[in-house]
Amino acid sequence: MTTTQPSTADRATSADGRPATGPTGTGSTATLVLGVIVLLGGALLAVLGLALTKPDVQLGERMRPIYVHVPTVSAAYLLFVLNAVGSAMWLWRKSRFWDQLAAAAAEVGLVFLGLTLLTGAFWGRITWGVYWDWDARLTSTLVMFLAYLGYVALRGSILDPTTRATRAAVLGLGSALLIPLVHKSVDWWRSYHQGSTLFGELDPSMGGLQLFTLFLGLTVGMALAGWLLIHRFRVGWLTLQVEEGGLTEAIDARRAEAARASDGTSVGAGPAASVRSDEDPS
Amino acid sequence: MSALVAMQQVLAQQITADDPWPLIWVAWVVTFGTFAAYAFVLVRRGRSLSARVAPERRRFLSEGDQDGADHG
Repeated sequence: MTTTQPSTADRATSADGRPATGPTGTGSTATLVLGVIVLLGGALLAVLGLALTKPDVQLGERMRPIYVHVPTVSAAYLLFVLNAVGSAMWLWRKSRFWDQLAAAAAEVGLVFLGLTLLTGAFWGRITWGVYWDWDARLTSTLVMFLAYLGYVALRGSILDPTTRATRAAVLGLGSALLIPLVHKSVDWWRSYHQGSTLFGELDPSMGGLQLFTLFLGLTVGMALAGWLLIHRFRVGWLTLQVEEGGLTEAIDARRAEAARASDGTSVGAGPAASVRSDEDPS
Repeated sequence: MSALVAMQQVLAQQITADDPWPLIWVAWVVTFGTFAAYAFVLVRRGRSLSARVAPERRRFLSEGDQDGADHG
């Protein structure tokens, strides 16, 4: 649709004719600071997690995926809780801010949870001997991944912003019920998976540099989640502006078309002119 | 495709090998690589979309967008 592609002049000036001084992307001072923290923290995490921390007493070197696996799932939980909050707030306040926040949190959370499943599969292979098993924790995590995949797909399948936001909010709130189910699955059912690393029983052999590295991973993971969330929120907001801009231009074009039809060709326009007039939203 | 083939070879070797390091590396590289790729895509989409939106509408509640309408 060409109506959403402005000319070069549109890009250079704002709507009221002032020089274009707005941001040229989704970056800002906040994301710059977060980005530096993530890059430095990520480099330190890699050095500590892959080289400097001692092997685990029981698992040996096989415990090293924990430094990326636990942070990714922790950030995914947090993002899905944020999605639920945003969904509830949309249903209550009908605010686009909350809808966009819910959408951003779901997509970023899906990336984190997908990586949780992947790193978990690799970790399972080197500790259990298999990439996958229909274990309670693994299966419930896969179900949660599919639920939020459905959430993102639903958002992509509905054009009307209000209908999209409302239906997605209902699905988001329903999907949030899976969070405690997944977290407690290792307690409620028999599972190969170890218990909760952070809020459950910590491995007593874990301490010192290992524990520091794990918490560094959590900090970096949360900072990265924040960085991605801010960028994804702004991308969603910009997409909404483009959609609304395109809709406004399409309505203006239709009005102009209807005006031309009624002015110049009123004799020969016939039924076509009346159809266009009926379609005019004004 | 070559990266995919290389990963398949690493995984195939791992089935018969007892050395955990290849899969440890794969886990870390996949994690960091996916985040880097996703971040790159987001930043590019943001720049592309920003060029199509009037400057005062590029930020939520930025200057010119503080009419309080529909923001809750």
